[in-house]
Amino acid sequence: MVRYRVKVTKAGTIYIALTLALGIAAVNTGSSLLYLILSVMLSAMALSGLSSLVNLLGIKVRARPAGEVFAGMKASFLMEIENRKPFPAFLIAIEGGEGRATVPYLPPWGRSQVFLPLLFPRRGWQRVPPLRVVSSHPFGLFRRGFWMRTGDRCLVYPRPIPAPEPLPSSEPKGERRGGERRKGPEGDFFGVRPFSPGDSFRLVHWQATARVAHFMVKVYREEERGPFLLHLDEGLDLEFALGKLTFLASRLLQKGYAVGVKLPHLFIPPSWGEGQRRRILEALALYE
Amino acid sequence: MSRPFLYLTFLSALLLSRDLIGKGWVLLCLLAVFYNLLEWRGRARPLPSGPLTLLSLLAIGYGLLGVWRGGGVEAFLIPLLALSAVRFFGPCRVREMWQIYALSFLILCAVSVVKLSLEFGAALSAFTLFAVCGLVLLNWEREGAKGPLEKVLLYSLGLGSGILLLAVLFFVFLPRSPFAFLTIPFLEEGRTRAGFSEVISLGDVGEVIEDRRVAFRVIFPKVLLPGPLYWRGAVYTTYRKGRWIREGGSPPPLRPFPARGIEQTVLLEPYEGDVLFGLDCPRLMEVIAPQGRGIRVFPGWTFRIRPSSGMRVKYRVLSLPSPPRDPPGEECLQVPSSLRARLQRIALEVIGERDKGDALEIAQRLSSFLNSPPFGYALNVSPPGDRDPVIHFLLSSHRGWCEHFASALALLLRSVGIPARVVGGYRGGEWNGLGHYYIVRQKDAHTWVEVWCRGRWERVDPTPSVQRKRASFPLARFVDYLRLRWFLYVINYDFAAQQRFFQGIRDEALRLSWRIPHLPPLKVGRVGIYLLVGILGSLLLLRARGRRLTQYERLKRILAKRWGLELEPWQGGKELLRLCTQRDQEVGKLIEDFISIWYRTRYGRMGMMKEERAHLERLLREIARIVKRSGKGGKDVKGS
Repeated sequence: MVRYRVKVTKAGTIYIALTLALGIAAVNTGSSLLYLILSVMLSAMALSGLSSLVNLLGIKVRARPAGEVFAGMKASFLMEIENRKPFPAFLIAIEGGEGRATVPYLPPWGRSQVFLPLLFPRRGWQRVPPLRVVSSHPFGLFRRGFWMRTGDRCLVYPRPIPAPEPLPSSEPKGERRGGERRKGPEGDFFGVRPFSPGDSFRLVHWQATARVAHFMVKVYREEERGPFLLHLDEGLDLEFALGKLTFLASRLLQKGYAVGVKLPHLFIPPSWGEGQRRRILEALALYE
Repeated sequence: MSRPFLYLTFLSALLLSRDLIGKGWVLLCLLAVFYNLLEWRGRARPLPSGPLTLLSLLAIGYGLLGVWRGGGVEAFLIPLLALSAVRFFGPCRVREMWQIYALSFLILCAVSVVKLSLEFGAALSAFTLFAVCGLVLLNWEREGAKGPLEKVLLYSLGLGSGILLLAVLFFVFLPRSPFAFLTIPFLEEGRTRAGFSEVISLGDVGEVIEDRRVAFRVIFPKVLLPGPLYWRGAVYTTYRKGRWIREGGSPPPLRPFPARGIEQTVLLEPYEGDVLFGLDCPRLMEVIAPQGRGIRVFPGWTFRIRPSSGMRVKYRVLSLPSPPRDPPGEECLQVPSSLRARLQRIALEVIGERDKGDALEIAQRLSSFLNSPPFGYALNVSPPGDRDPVIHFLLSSHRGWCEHFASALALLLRSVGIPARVVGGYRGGEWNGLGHYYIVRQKDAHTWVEVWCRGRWERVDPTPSVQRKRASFPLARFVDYLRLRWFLYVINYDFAAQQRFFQGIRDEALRLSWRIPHLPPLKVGRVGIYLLVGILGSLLLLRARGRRLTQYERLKRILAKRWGLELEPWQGGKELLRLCTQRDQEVGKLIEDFISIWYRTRYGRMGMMKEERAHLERLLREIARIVKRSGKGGKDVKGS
């Protein structure tokens, strides 16, 4: 059972005060025209409430991460808002913990998508926090809304914590260096992967980005280097150590090295590419 | 985009108040709107806020001063308009726009106190529609939303219309108080009419003959009465120096009234007098609205309302076609002594000897005399100078209007000893078949004579008939019909009217059957009503569910339901085909067929033919059957 809550805005408070004043004037004077104006005001208030309620009926929201989600960092989520009723919906706003996204118009039986930043404090499988669906439609006198639990889950990776790299850093191919642009990467085009924090925008693969509606970056493998086997530093705090491993694994794989992870109960042999990166991050996210 | 509606909202309020304020204020407001329009289009800059604040304070001070000096509604209107103009000259953000809407609304409320006409209803409707559209768009802009404005506009118009319709229900059912604790002293200020006057003064030339303003409307239940109609008002008995006044006499006895009479409902427009009018000769009157007003009967069946307040009055009249029989008093023979000899000489010249014929015949002979040359109807009469206007009319000018003719006849009759009195009221009126009522205008104001003859007062009209009827257009008749309904159903809708309405609803509801006019009797029982509501509801539901999915969407729904196959938004039909072929070759072939037709018709130039649609339906059924048989077993196919 959805419970709708109404908040009266400042304009709404003034409107109600005016209506009350007019009602008192109408009763005291007995003027039919004042009654008529009062009727119009009451009618507008009633229909405003009704239409804002109808506006929110049948609104369903699904939340999916638009990219990788790291603990303690804002992650963009793709909110798919569906209007399951034969009337259009206007000004549907989704409010999460860290932001607000508005869909101006939803046709009958239609759907739309907006991005909303969400923040997850912990790693592992996490439920999308409750979202508030609100609308100030039609006049902005009242804001009606309800809380919605989408039931969607997402895997949250450990928060990357910068750590010194185990070898001298080298720029990946294709980067701008000294104001000159290289003609192209010398290595093989290995594939594409979702954008992750720290990636250069020059590596964005625009065709793939346009197709999936979130940033995808190109991955090149210049030559097979490594391998690196990352260990969990048991002397550190677990989350801190996992954060460092997350950072190092992402950075080294991004540079084209073969990387593996050795955990007390899990061993991932060194390998390259996006699949390896995902395997490692999933393992780190679910490590207990 | 909300700006034009802001202008329209404000202008509808300004239009309504235009005749309550000076032209200068109207021009100032129009200038302010125009300046704001320029500012909106980027051709002007908003004025700085310092001087505008000063102007606002001055406007408020002006209003307070006006209230302190006992000013009317304009004391409220002018500051409100001035504040609105100041807002238009300044920067117009969302907050200022809200303020202008609020100020326009207050202007409308102030005007409602003095303007009761149908124009107010039209302006209120327009105001509501414009304000609803403007506020919805303003909220849309405030949220920073961009989208299909035409859809928002359409929605706003629908919402505005709905608000007006629901407002009717609120208006009808809002509980009214039987007591008004405050009275509004300046109702219909400046709109009182002047066709009928309490005192007949022959020296004054009225300009009422061309005044087409409505004096009153008379609703008859069914019939259109034949002949020229006389609407009786006041009776004048005493003539002094060119003026007729009412004097002496005793009120007629109020007897039990016979059941048979002509019943009318009169809506009297506001005027400064207190005389009520009815079809000649009214015998009983009862005020319907406003409540708390009484009626007093004066000699000669003159009905007066008390207290008179210049308000619109609705009352019921019962008239009898037979003339009144209240005996004449001494005052009905009064003739100024200075005129008696000359009047008697003229009268005897016309009628010959005193005893030839009875009083009515003599009156008709004198009336014929006044109707024949050199007498004639005219509004421009040479001034009588020191002479009495009646003597001047009879001996010199021979020109005059109804008051001259009636005065002359009454005095001539009195000079030969026949009791006569002058009656003021209206003659004629336009029949409006739409609402079954007469419209009586100021130009219909009239005066005639009543002669005491054979124990009753007979009406004699000595004024030559003047062709001054002007047929009104059907549209004008319709507008007047709306005006009448406005007064009946809105302006006069008070506590008593509400009680009557509720009683009527109760009576109708208890009957449980209705008869449609002009059709054979049709009884609709409870079951019939339930059935009707059920059928209408089902039709609406079917209509709502009917338009839902295209055939391609239905295909996706079938696959999602049975196989759990959910496509991502960027995955099209080819992807669907690939995924389904991986899972089931048979279904894959059917879907390939489906997709090829769907793509060709959906993206090609040719529309879908009937056979193709039927083929797709068959394919859908077949796919649904196979998919249902295979069930949801195995691993779900993921779209990505």
